[in-house]
Amino acid sequence: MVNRPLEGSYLTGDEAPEALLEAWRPMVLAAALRLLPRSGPVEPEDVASQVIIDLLRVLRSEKTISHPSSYIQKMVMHRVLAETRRVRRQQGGGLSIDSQRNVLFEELPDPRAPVPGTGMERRELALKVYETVERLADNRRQVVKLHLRGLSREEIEPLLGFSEAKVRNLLYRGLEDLRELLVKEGIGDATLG
Amino acid sequence: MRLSDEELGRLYGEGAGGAAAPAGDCPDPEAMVRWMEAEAGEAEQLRIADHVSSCPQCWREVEALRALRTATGRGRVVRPSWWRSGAGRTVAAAAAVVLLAAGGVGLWLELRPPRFPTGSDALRSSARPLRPLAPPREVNEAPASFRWEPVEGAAAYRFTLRASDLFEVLHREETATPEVRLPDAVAARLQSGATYFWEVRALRKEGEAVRSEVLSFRIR
Repeated sequence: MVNRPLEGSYLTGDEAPEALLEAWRPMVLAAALRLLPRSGPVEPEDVASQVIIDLLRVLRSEKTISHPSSYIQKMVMHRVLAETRRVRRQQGGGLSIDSQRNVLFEELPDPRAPVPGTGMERRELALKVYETVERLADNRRQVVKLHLRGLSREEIEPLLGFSEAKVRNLLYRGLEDLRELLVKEGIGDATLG
Repeated sequence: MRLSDEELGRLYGEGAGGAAAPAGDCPDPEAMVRWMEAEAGEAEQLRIADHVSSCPQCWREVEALRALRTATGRGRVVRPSWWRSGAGRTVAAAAAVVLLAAGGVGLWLELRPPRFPTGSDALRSSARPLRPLAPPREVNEAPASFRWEPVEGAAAYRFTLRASDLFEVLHREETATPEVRLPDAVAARLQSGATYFWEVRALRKEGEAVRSEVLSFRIR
């Protein structure tokens, strides 16, 4: 038997979905690793394989793809979410406190540790900050929340459909409101933030 | 007491983890992707922003998708000025560690799309795809064996044959040689007109994957 590579049938120029999608595997796998419990029965690598398989099916059914980069990325994002959610459901629900705590090797502070100057444990303070943020007015609240989650103003603008000036203004006003509300709760002082 | 934006952000995240579930349903995957791409209407963008930033599970997904977009060069993550150390760097470093651990330096180099390779490009690249030798993509009957070209650095191969239905694994085995003979009982389950997917994971001695490919064939 002659061992002859079958690239002619597997990899046919621009229509080689396997080759195209394999470039996505590391990203898909990284996302699966972030989204699945560490010790579940389904391996993140299996999830990554499944995402690739699904995408292969879709790509083969498409005659033309006008913007392959954008199109495939959206498909990858969608399938990663759908598959990891499906696996989590099969494994019995959402993230455990433990898996949240261990996410990305980030060590969270001890929730029971007293916070100097507040008379509160850290978890109480955290909950108070969370609840206070949620009381902010519409628009200011969403901008402040995305900011506190680590998004830059440049990222927030398109997500909320606001101009740069509007985001800047809402953020400034929102943080000011937050500061005042927290002070009323006995947290921080006029220099907060 | 003085709380920086960074500390407020950390407290907010921790508070969200300990609070009751936020109002509203978690967006389904379609809605989440539309939101990430800023393609929903203004009211919907605001509503989803409100929910996902309060919901630990949704936010974890947002972070995973942001990392995915960044890795492909399409997303642009510009951290705010206060995001200088601690969480920001931990996340970035951890993402890099995860990606490197997932695939090694060769695959890391692949993280520089989005330039989608043509077939011939892929074969020329240093991290070339695994070359299947058999079966071809279209076969007349269930294939008796699966063969592929040896992969440099591989001590063993993990072969998996799947039905087109998600996680149904029809056959899985590890082999030291680049060939697997399909057991008769498994071959008998394969049906005409169906497409099946096979995957070969090339493993180093330590069990770490050096290459992993999904291929398919259809029985006429």
